[in-house]
Amino acid sequence: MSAGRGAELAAIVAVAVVALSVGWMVARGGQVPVERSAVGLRGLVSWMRGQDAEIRYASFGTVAPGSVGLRVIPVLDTDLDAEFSRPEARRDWLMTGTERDLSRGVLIRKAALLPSLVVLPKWTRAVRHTGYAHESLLLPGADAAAAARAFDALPAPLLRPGGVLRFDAGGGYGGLLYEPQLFAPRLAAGCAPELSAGPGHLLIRCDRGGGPVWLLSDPDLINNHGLRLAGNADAAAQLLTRIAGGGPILIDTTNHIFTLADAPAVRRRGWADLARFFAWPHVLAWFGLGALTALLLWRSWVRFGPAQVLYDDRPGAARSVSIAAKARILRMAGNDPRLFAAHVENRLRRVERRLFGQAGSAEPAARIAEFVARTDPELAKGFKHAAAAAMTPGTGTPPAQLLTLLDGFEQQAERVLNGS
Amino acid sequence: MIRPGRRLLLLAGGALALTVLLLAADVLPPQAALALWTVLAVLALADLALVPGARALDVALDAPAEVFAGEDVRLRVRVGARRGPVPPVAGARAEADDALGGLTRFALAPVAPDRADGAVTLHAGRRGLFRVAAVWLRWPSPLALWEVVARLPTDLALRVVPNIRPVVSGTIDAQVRSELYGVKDTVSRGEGSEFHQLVEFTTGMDTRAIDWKHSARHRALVAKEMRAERNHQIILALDNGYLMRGEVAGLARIDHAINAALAMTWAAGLGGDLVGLYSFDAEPRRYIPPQPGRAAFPALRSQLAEMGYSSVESNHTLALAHLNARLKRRSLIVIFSDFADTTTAELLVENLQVLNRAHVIVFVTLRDPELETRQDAMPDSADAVAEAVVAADMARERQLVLDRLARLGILCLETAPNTLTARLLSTYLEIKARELI
Repeated sequence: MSAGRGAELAAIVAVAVVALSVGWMVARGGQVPVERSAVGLRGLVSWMRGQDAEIRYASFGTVAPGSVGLRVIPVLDTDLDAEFSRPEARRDWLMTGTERDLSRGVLIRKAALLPSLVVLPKWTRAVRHTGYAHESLLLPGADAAAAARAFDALPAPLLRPGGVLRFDAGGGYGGLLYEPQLFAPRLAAGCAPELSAGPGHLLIRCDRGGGPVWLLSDPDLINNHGLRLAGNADAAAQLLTRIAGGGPILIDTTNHIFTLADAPAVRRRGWADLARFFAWPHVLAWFGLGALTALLLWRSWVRFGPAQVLYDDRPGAARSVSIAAKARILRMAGNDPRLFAAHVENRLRRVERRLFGQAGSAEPAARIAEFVARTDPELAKGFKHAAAAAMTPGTGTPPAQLLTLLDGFEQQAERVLNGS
Repeated sequence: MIRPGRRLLLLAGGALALTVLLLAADVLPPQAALALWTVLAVLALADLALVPGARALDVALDAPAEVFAGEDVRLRVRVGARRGPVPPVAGARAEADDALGGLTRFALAPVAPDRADGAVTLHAGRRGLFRVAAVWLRWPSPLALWEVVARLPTDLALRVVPNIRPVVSGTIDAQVRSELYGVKDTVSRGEGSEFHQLVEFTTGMDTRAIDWKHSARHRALVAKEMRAERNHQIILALDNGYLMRGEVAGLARIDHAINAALAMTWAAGLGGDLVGLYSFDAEPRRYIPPQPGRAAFPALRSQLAEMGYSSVESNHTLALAHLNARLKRRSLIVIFSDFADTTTAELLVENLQVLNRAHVIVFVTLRDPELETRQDAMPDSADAVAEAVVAADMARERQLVLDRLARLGILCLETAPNTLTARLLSTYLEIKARELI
């Protein structure tokens, strides 16, 4: 393989790899790399799948009501009303908590369409980048409560008792929370505690006319950090399964709704549908199509004579190709008026040669016109005029107009040569 | 081999359409479609059993021993049946080499129940030995549901040789003899440099012509009568480079040159001159020393028939210098060559100039009709105008080179292929008449 061909192949492979990577990242719905970090839910998904629970990330596609038992919305946005703008100082940036933008309207709409568990944020971006969770890296309480405020579920600020808090999720499962973040005991109207721990509530449920919305105050109960270091996996799985009512769980990390309020149930096609095409009596049509195809292929296979060469690459073609190539270069010069003038000049020489035997004069048009004027002064005048018009068309004249002028000249030349 | 006929394909297509219609409309039970296909299958199998095979036929071709390059050859084809009648042939093709036109259609007509005759016309586009490998026949089955395609090998070889039609038709004899008689007797006597006879000195004769020794011996004034030399040397120099492979009027330039050279050889034989051959491409190739024209003709013909087609660029400097070194006597050199443009013709002009000092040179090149056609064509687009301008420039460049050669005293002959032989002979006769050699 030549070096040029190898480089070309490498470029194609590189482009393909980049395209595949981009496609893969888009298809995964933005879970990389946040979802693999301490604040992500990748571990929970793996854990629950290991326990035969149906859990998946939301990706492009419509989700119909009833097809999902619980939508988990891990909020990583501290201001639902504005897009995140990166602070100039790196330190300030690391102390922000917005990992992915989420609109207030989208969040409320999501919760209204499907039973949802909204998980409040707790840690700043620095936790993900450093891999360490420390009380100095906690988000301000007001920022962490932004998602809860969207549902008017928080009449009092979040509690931060500090230290380590042990909780009991019921069913014999429990866990630990480091620097716990809790809802205050006093809740808004329509909200009720589902899981309490220490001085406040970990999980509350709000019913505001639409579907139920659960709010989880401390994400460490279900995120990678809590599952790995605090052993919250069993408690988290049990809690989510209970809330979802045993139905499928959808982890929605996107800023899209993906849900139709009245989407019809999608019927999955199966092999049985395909098999119906080949069942009696439809198989007759397939047999007929197969027979006709076989006959056509058979006929095309048996040739009446050997295959013929369509293009004979003979040396005689060289001159034609050379003329075409030079002509193309002349055209690329972009001076069509001068090109047409040169052609008319050549044509005048050839007309002169046909009339007088040989060309010789400096002004063939004048010589021809003088000769023709002896018998037909009008024709001589017209010929001279047509030749002059075709040779001096003016700069920028379009090819169509040049061809018209040339056509007029050729008509006059024809009359000169063969009589009018 | 057997293949489905168009009728079977149409019937199968129709049956498929009917089947779909039956299944969709539900006016008849599906078994009707099954019955339709069964009937079609039975008919096809019965027809297949009745079709005669290809083994029952044989083919024979009648061909001439030699074919002239550039001409058409008509081969008679006879198809016979070993047993039974000849099937009604629907199509016939001759599988020939590309130089003979490739796959060529022809018609066969039955002349007897067990025989069919036809004729195929092939065009010999190149010199050499070419094959007509087989004859392809196609005939339908009784119901025309099947077609038999048979390839009947013939393995016929056709030898395509230089075209000497003007020689064998007597055209050259008529032209040359009529020109030479009447010119030789009136012009050559007394005007050449070769001693012819002693004549009695009469008043009005040049006194320098008196042969004093013989006058003393005869005791009367006698003078030498001279005549033009008859056994001039003519060298036919053929450029066999890649430019001469280009086709003009359906034949390579070198083939046109060879045809004209052989006509010239024959004419020179009639004129009593000696003819030699010299061919070259990148280096000197064949050289046949001058010999009497009649004897030279068969030798040159066989040599030229065997001369292949070259794809290398000609080296005019080496070739013409080599020729100049070989020639010891003033000769008429007819050079058949071609050039691409003024730049590539520079060396050619320089070497012809050297050769022209000692010899008479006729430079023969073929005019390209394509250049003329492009210049005179009515252009319908700006591209066509550009091509016409380029063609005019190329023609002008050729003319510049030819004008330069003419100024050096070289006789230039740029002509169309169909008039090449006639103009070359006219030039030869004019040279003889003017005693340029």
